[in-house]
Amino acid sequence: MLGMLVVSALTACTQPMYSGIDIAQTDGDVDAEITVDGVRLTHGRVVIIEAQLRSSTEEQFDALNQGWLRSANEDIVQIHPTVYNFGYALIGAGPGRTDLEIVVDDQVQDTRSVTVVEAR
Amino acid sequence: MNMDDRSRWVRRALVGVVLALGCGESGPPRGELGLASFLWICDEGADYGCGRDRFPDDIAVGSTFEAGFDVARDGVRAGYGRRVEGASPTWIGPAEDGTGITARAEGEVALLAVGGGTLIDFTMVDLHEVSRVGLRRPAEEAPDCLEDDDKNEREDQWDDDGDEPEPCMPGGILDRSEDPDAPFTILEIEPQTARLLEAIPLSGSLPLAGRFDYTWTSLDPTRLVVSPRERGRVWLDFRGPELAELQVTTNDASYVVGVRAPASDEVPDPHRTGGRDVDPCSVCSSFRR
Repeated sequence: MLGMLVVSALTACTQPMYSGIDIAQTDGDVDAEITVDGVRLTHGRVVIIEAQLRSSTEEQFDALNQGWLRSANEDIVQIHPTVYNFGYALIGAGPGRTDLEIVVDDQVQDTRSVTVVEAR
Repeated sequence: MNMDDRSRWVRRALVGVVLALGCGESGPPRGELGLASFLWICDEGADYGCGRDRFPDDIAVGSTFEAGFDVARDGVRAGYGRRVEGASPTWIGPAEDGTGITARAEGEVALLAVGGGTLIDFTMVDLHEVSRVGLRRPAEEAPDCLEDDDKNEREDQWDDDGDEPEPCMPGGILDRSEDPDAPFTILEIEPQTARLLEAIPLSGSLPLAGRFDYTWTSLDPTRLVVSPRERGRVWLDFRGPELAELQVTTNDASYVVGVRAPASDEVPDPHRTGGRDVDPCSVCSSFRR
């Protein structure tokens, strides 16, 4: 129901509702490092993050289920929803650098850099 | 996120997981998220990971395996997934024959339990190159045998008569050595007796899970008759009395072990071959007990 409401609202609005994204790590996993510039994680490993999209009215929406968050290159990083509310698994599928894209109205509104590095 | 949220999402995720009766080996929950138990699924192949009480940590590069997962809620099995994925194709990929997945390269990688597009849980495994092959009696045939790593506890395992327990790997460990001077491994069997053995892939002394196909060949069929059995095992019927050679081939690597009657006090000639010339590098073995 929430998804339907959001989609409807997006369609009706001429101004994108998107105003930002909050990304945070859910635990102390050392396989990832999250900064204001983006996410750095290890090839072959998984990190669970919380990602919430904020609307212009400061509402928070589930990103992945509504298609607002995607990987620009799934050979480098993949995103899976998890059983946690607003929780997503970032999977280091291959070394390299790509973006998490925040997509609204089929337009990339913002990105967060993701770097997948080999294990030390 | 609070516990109510978490419980709600667990319930939602479980809807996407196929309910089924699973098979294979299970163990205590070990997923990093604490939501699933990972299952090592066994068939008729030779696999050290089968018959164990827990999901293996260490898997052989080049081996094939199948894994699934169990999701339990309130102590009751609530879901089952037959398929586990690797986090990266660098290390884990589909098996060429379509049965399960193959470990491709050394390293540490996450295995993912995915149901209905949702990541339920994951677990880390270490993949190792096989450096040696061990020959051992199947565990059910020798439950009290002495593992090679148990040498320090050897005296504690002597029975009431003061007899030392038999080693689990009476055939020793076969190295993939390039040293042409490396001596053969010698397996001692009383003539006119048979012995059941299985091969275990090793990284150093670390046994590795994963399915391999083994081909057993007697290089001296008049003195040694081999009869392959299920799960990669072999019956050796040693008729003796002279040295016979047994070749084990797996994953494009061959190892040769010598079979002979129990040695007397004399020191065996490591290059004794029963009168035949053998390419020493193809033997690739060393004596170790």
